[in-house]
Amino acid sequence: MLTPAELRLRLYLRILTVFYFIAIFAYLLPGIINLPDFLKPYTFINDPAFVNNSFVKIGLFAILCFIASADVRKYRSLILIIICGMILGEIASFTLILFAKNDYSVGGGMTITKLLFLSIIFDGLIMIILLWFFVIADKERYDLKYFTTTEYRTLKALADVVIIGENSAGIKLSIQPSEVAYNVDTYMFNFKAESKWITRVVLIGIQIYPLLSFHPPFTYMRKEDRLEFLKKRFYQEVTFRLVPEFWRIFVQAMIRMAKQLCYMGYYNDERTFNSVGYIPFSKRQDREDRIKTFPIQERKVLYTMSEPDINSNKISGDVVIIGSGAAASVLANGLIKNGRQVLMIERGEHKDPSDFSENEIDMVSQLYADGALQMARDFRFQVFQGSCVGGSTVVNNAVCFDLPEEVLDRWNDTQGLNAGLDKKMILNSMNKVRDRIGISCVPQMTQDKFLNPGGKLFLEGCRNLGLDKSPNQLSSVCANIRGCLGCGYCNIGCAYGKKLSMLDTILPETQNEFGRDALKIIAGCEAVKINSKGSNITSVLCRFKSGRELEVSGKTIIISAGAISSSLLLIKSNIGIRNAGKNLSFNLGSQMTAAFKEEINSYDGLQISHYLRRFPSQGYVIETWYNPPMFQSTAMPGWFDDHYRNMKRYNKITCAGVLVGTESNAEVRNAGLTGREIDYEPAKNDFEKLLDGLILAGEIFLAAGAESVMPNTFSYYEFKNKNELNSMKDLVKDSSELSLGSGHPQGGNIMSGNSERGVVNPEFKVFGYDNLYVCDASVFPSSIGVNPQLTVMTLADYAVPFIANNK
Amino acid sequence: MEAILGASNNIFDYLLVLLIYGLMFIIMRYANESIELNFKNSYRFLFVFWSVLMFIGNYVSFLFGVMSFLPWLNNFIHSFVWVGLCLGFLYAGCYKREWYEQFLLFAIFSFIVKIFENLILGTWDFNHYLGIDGKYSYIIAMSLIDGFYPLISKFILTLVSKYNKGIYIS
Repeated sequence: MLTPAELRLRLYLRILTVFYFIAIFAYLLPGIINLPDFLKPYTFINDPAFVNNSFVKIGLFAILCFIASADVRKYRSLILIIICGMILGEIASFTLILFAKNDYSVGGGMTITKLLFLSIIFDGLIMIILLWFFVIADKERYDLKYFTTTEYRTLKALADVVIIGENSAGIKLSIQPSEVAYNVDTYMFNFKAESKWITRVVLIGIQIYPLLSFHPPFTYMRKEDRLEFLKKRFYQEVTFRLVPEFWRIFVQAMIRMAKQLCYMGYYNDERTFNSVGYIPFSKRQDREDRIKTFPIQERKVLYTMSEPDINSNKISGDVVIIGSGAAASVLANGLIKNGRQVLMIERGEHKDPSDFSENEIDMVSQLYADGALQMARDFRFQVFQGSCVGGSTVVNNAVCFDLPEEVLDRWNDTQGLNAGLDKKMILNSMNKVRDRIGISCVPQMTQDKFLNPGGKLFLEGCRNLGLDKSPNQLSSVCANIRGCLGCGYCNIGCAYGKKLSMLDTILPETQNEFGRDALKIIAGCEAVKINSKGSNITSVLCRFKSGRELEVSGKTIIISAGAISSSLLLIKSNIGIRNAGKNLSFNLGSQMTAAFKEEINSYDGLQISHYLRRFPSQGYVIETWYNPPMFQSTAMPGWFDDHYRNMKRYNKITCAGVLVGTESNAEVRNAGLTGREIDYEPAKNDFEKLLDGLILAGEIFLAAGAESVMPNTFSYYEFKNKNELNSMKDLVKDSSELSLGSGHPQGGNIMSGNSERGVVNPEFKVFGYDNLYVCDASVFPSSIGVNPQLTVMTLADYAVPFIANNK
Repeated sequence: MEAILGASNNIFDYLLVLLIYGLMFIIMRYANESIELNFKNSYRFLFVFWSVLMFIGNYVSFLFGVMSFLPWLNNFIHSFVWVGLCLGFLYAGCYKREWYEQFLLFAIFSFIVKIFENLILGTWDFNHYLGIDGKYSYIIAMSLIDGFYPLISKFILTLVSKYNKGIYIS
């Protein structure tokens, strides 16, 4: 059934068919019969060369329009050919007008230039109407919300070859490529990230990329050719480094994002869950038993304001805190206890935990937004951060490690980083925060049986290799989680109130204890620039998503927006111009995936459950880790059928992440396509540590009986024994081979007693300003090498007395 | 016209001088990409203070015979563009350094610019100065005077910041 717009297009094509057929005869007639009097001055229409060319051109158009009008859907490409032919005609006429050396008369006082000009207008009009009807017909037919038709078709064509499985043997995929593309269109429409337009650029890039090698556009290729093209141009040329480095980065980035879009569209659809052996928590048999074991408590309500609640374009507070995550919440609580009032500005939206769902894409859209699309400049390294009220505490795994003593000593080294932190006070704050946020371990945190089942295999493997011996630390994690049900949805927000995130605990508790006037939170409002009068910060310019501006003023301003955003805010405001954004470091992470013979159902338990720290330190921590299918599919090793096969054994697979505390060699800048460019290339030393950690993780799983282990590399490797695994050092030549990511950016506005080196002084005050403070992971003088949440909160608690007295 | 452009100078000569200022500015930006937020008001103040002072001072000094005549357009771009914008920017990036470093930096930058202005526009031309023969004696003396820009600026800013909180000097 054609849509009204398609019917209109068909009618127009029919009109054009008739028109062009009449034109054919009109061109022929003067050559055959005598010209009527009024045409006699125009001798050119008697010119055989002109008539012959025009006859062919118009005749072709007539035939194409005739065929296309028979079925505008089936012969969509013919309409495009007609449009292309018309565009070529226009270009040729323009070129001739501009550069033709001969402007001869064609009779009747008309020059050839004038004739060409008139034909440009006439043909152009026909073409514009056709193009307009065509675009509208396409849009109406596909009913797309975000992508254009071309982008949608590219995505569909990609999904057709990226997700290949048993359909070649006659068994259908759970959902069809068109449904994958539709899913992604809906996801992207709802996705709240501003930088999501990059996905459109990637799809257009893939569509036209074949033209560079004289192939037809991607969607016009046969399925087999498309697959061959992807394998050759996007996989082999990158893997075997057959193209220059800059081009390899570009191609790698394109295909990584395109693949992820396809996996999102496929594996987030619940119709595919059966095929991978995944059961959502809401449908698991023991759900009710688990809830009986750890009953769901009533949550305290958090009151926030959004754009409609703010009537004025100016607002003031006593202490203004930018951000609402780990540091911001502890600071707010501490400052209010010290008699101050706090106004919090949060870029992300306030999502009430009662609205959290099991839909990964939906939750990523609402809780991460742009935080899910933060990429390093070369697109090889992804930095995940929550962007919602509660910050990353809402979406992290809540794993808590103490600030390692050797790290604190390194920070305080007067000959080096010279952070000037009082060790005794830091330890006091750490203990205080531990109690305040409710850090616990098994059995208070959860029962052993609710931990990630893959973690138990990890433990077994470690024991088999003798890695459980002291001084190594091999254990289940401790976290600010109480009575975990093991649903496995930590990274998309805990719907059951078991993860004691800031959204669940400190923020609502502070409002509850001190009143809503003491702690006001404006959500969905981004701080974009800071204004000052000399060294006194006068206001912060903020912007709602609608573009409306809000000027926020306060006696004391604290930036606690996380390592990336805090640095960028300072940079955009020309604060700390020498050092802001520099000395950025990460807990660099990559995964080792292990496949077992039997079902493990790693998804059915706490996501990060166990860890191994070796002593003396090898520079890395290994943590078990597993995700619901969509997230896991984006980290699943393999291409095409390898990837599909691995996803088919999703419930027999488990995974461990290796974290390396990197050197402070990264930088964030207000540049690039998205205005938040992260410049990072892992140092050789960090890369080698990561590789060692991945190999050890593989050994551990093999020792636990894994059939094979797979690193998350661009080329696909599956190692079945230790000897094969050891070859990884030769196979993975540099960091560009590995999929790298981090949820733990640190530094950028480092703390130091030396103003030449740091952005903030040991009292968290920004050098050169009387009432501006930064307190979050961005002040870390170096990476701490373990999950930083507890350290961030510790520093926030430590900072309270310094900031409270700034009035 | 000669009083405005100088003898045998045309507008392209001035564009060339502006290009030299631009190149100097690029070199300054290597050390310091932009002006710190807290110093922006101070920069604006210094721009007005030095530009106006220089523009008038150059002419008055000529009347007193201690400086050669600067054609009006040369005086204007030297005072407002070079001293006001460029040297102000240089000061914003180096005012925390030792006083002698600042002195040398300003004197050297001034010397380079005056040499170029002399070559292109034929200005800053005095055959002898302070009893020393040769045109360089005059250019060197003027450059050394410019070396006092940071010291004077610091003094002025410190004074003004007592009455105006928007003016900052650490």
